[in-house]
Amino acid sequence: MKKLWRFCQSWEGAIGSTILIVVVIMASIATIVRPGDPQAIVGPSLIPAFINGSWPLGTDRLGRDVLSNLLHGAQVTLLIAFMAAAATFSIGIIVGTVSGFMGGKIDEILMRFAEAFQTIPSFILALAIVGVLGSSTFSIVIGIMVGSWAGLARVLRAEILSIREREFVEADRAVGMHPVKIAFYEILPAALPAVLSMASIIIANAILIEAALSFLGLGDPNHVSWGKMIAEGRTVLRSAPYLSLIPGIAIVITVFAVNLIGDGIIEALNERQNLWRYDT
Amino acid sequence: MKRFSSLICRRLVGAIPVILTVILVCYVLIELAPGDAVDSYLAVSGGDREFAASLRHMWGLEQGFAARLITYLARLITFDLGQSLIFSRPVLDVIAERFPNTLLLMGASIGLAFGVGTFFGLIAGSRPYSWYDRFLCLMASLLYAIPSFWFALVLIIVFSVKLSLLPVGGLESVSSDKQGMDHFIDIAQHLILPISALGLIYLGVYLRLMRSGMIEVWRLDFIRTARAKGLTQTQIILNHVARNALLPVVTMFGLQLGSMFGGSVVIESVFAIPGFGRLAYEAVTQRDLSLLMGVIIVSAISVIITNILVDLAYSWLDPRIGTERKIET
Repeated sequence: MKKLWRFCQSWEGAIGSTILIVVVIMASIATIVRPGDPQAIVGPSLIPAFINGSWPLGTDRLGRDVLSNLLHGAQVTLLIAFMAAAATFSIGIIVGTVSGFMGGKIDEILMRFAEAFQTIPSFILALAIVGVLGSSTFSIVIGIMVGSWAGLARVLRAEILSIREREFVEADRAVGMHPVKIAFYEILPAALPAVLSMASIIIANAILIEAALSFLGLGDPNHVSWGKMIAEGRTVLRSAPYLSLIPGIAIVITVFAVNLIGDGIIEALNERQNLWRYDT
Repeated sequence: MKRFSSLICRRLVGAIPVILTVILVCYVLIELAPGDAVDSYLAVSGGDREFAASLRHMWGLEQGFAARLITYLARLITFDLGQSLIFSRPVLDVIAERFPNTLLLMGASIGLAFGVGTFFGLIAGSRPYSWYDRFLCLMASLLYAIPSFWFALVLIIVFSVKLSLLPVGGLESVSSDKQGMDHFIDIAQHLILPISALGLIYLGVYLRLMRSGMIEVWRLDFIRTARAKGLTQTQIILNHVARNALLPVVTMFGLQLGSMFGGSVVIESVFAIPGFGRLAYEAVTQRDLSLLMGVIIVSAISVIITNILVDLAYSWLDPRIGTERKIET
């Protein structure tokens, strides 16, 4: 609780969470503010942003409402990022835990696998998986997960290995605690914070990878997405740059907020060192 | 010298199982694709059932999974990555043709990101938690939040559309027989925007790494010794803190290269640069599975080689580490 309070006090955490909450609210009111299919043609094409009250952010090349696309795109972005992070955490935590506790041959094999997955550039891997499985929300989530579980698993394993040697674990053993209980009640809870602080990086990467995939035309064709909006705006980049600029700014703000939250978490977990005490 | 050769040997031997695993992973992935190479070939060329059967026989596709994997591995040893469908040429030739362009793009981007990033990281880390440190960190987070393809479009809007200063895409001007210096300047002009788009994103990473490296060093005892010796703050920052903080930054090259390969895919498609990254994209969208596999394997091997080089550089820069150090990627 104290750490949560410290997180809220750090201005990175406060600003980051505020922005993210706004984005979540935007996504959740999408169907109320702009009901109906965002891909439907609702007006004349290429109305610039901030001119017409009915379409505050303008319309695109086909006469679709940019605001509606933006709000519905927020839903897709957040959903995919959340699912990808959940999938990454599940696989990463399972592999890291098994590897850290089992040791021996199993550990070696799992870590070889993790190393191999880390040498393949994660975006190329995601691209290949989406290409092979076909474009869908599911394949994008799998693609992102396959590229990012390995780092998480390795960090968790290293953390478990180092905590196993700590004195409090030795004390648990000395009082005759069951090894399984030590593993799940003592070591794992102590190892998880290191992994949790990776959450912001994983979510930020997931948003960026999804955006890049849909920019390249490999996104889920049934949903709007910020990346796809940028790609469609690109065809009229000279005459209507706002069509690419608006969704891009949305991505930057969202990822920036996630990064700030990550900074806030790190700040809250580490006691800040006053380095300048010797100085004066 | 002996130290290095034994390090190289050990790292090369250690890389073999990793490469084998990469190949296995790719192979399983490609197997998951609906249809096989013959189907995608026939989709382009057309042909009847008998032709398909004879192709399957010729390419050895009617064998089982393990048998085909072994055949593929046996061919890989002779650097044969198979035939590309969309180019009707050996995969390795296509990759070799495209790779230098991407190497140029990524090399220049890493150079830009490393140079400028560590410089600002040095400023930020010279006084942690000061107002300029906080500002620079914020800028780094912001840069890191920008999707490179969108940044590329913004650069195009500003420098090509509004200011008409730089070309929109391509690697060189079409149908211009420029020679020598003119040719070089032409390519440089075409590459300024792609390099900036790719490099500026990673600038933030290097800034952060340098800064956190310096914070680690500030805590060490020899800094107090340096102060006690009466060195000025600038001397301490440059000769003691920055120098020691730089080493860990170098180790990130290998990892950065991997994610830059990913970045080059989008940047090369935005700027229409015929490079390795766009090859990956073409392989996926046109379902050229053997090309896709070649691209993945070559990119993984490049990352492994870079990691070995980084290791060598590390043990050369910091003799304490010796050859015992295992790389943590």
